[in-house]
Amino acid sequence: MHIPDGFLAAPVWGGLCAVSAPAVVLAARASRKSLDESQVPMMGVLGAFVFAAQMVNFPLGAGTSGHLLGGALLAATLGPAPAIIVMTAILALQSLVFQDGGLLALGANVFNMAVAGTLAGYWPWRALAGTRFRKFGLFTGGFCSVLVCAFLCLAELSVSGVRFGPTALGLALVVFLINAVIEGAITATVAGSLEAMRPGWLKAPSTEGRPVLALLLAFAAVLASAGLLLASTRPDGLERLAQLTGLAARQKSLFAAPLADYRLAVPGAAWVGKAAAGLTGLVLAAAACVGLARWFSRWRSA
Amino acid sequence: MNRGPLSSIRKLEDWSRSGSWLHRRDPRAKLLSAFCVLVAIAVMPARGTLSLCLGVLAATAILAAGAIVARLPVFSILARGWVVLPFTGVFALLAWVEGNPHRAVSLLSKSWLSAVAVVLLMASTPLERLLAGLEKLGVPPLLVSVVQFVWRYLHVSIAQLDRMRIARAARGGERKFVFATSTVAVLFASSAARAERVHWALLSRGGESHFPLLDPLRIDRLDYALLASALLAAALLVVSGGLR
Amino acid sequence: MVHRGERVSLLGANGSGKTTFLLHLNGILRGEGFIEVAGIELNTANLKRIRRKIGFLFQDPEDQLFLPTVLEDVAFAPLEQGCAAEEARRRAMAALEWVGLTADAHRAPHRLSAGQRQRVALAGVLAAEPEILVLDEPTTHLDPPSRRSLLALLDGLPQTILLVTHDVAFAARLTRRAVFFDHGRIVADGPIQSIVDDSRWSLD
Repeated sequence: MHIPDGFLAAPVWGGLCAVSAPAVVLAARASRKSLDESQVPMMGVLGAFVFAAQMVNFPLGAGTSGHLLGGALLAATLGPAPAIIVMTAILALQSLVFQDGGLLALGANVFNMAVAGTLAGYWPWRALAGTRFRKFGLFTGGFCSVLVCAFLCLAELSVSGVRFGPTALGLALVVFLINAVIEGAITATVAGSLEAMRPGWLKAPSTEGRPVLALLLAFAAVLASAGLLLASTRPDGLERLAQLTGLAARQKSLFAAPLADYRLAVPGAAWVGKAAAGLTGLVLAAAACVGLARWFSRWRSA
Repeated sequence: MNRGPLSSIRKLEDWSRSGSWLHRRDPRAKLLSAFCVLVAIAVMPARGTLSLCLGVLAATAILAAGAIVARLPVFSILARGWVVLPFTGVFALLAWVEGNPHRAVSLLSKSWLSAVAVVLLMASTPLERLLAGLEKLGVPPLLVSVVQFVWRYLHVSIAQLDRMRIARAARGGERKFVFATSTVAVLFASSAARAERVHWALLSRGGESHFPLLDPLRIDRLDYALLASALLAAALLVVSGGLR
Repeated sequence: MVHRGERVSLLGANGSGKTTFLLHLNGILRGEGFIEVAGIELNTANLKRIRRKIGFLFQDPEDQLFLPTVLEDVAFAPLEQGCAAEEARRRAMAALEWVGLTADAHRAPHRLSAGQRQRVALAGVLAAEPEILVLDEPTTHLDPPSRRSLLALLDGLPQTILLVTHDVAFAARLTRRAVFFDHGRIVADGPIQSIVDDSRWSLD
């Protein structure tokens, strides 16, 4: 999933560089708060582990093999901000020393794997860490990190004009799904074994500062807007299916949803309207999550 | 998984520690120059056959000139760019099959040229100086330190992977998937233990983790000359690639 | 109680607490009881001063050489102590010369052999000019010639030495006194030969 130079259109790699750079700076600042200076070499050792582990082949049969990404594992072990830094370090080294992934495309690769993938891997773990479903949280984290990363990668290539035939796309999706399952399984088992060795090593996710939260929100916002933009440029898979099966004709609106067709009455270019709608939806969803979480924790501690 | 990647890196490391006019330049100048060339390669439109050929030729000439100035073997440097082949080749093939040979060639050549530019940068700058340059250019010091440490311990982790692979082969290498999973688990456990010991060693030796480079970086007029020539080269590329 | 300039071996089975004990000496592990190092009491406030007095050589030099080149790694401790770059470089080169590795000053540590790495680690420790040297199984990864040269190097040092090792021959050449650990306690303390004989701690 390391994109070389020459594939992405200038606005894509330029824009992603512009997004990744402040994200990484923010992550560095947040890391300073959560980790001690002397723990930096430790981050390096774990980073070396992930780098090496990424080279291990998980044979899937028919000559293909899966590989580890590692973002979710690092997030559970070090915390989200240090994990972002370590993953960025790995990607930078891969690009510079091994030419695996372009240097201009580093912004895109960092966004996909180090920022988005890691945060997507962190959220399920954070949500489930205090419950009985810790292992499941780890698995879901690993699973989501690969899927988010793959989705972003395909989206960026697609927007840059790389064409995927339906068979190629289908094959790629299957491979990504299998990789996602492998990632989830490895994250859960490896982090689990770490817990057994040294209980309390896994980062208790209750003590992050504001920078991390800001990072999480910013990431979600960008993802939502970008995802929406992309979804709007081609007929949605579901809609297509509905058209094909004639269900569309039988659809009736139950009530006039205020954000019907993902559009806010915003003056200006259509994409502004769509992005704004996405952001509004996100804010509402976030508020609902926060509300639910508060209620849930109050219920538990009662 | 093979030892291949690390042994080929040895050569790159040796090259980076040799000497030449280019080697002596400040890493910041080299980074910015490389960036100029990379952007030019990426941005040159190269829409027609002639402009594509001219653009590729011009870029190759510029990079070859760089290799000569760095007193490095030109063909070896150019050849190293072909690591991009696996990923790029697939898409180039797809484009060719779809009846767009121009795009296929363009993809291949741009990827290759960009990779060569990075190889030239890395072959003329030791990694720790490059990192010091990056830090001066504004990259967070924490990130720079982590890169340094990941690089330092990568060799250790890979050596351990190698030993495990040999041990598995000695025991009759079936059940590869299970092996892969347990390899990663064991590697993680020993990395976590090593991480703790490294932490102790650092504490015993004094404890801070920002490491001042012994030779401070200094920019001089020659560095500006390098940057100027890179900008000129980039302009040349964009122009030659933009001809119809 | 160890006197200045004295050399003591710490012997005992694996897991008997030798390394744990060492890690208490510079405050990496903390426990109950009272430790005094070079006249300074061990507590949180004095940690930095104590760590300057103790030079710790760990078992695996991989864990200790963490900088990109040999010279930078050896110069790390003097720089940490506040020396100027020139002074740190001078001390580092002096230490490297003492272990015989000045030619490798600009090499990356992963290009050296195990024996060379152990000597670089020793140089790094010596460059800090400690009063006490603590060595945790230093001969584990070394071949006989490297062990001989390490022995020669250590023998010529004036510092107080605490040596944890299973290499009884090495210990007997370097030190005269030994303490024996068992299940986390010191159970014997005396001349090394009698300790070895009493606990049957050799191949004979």
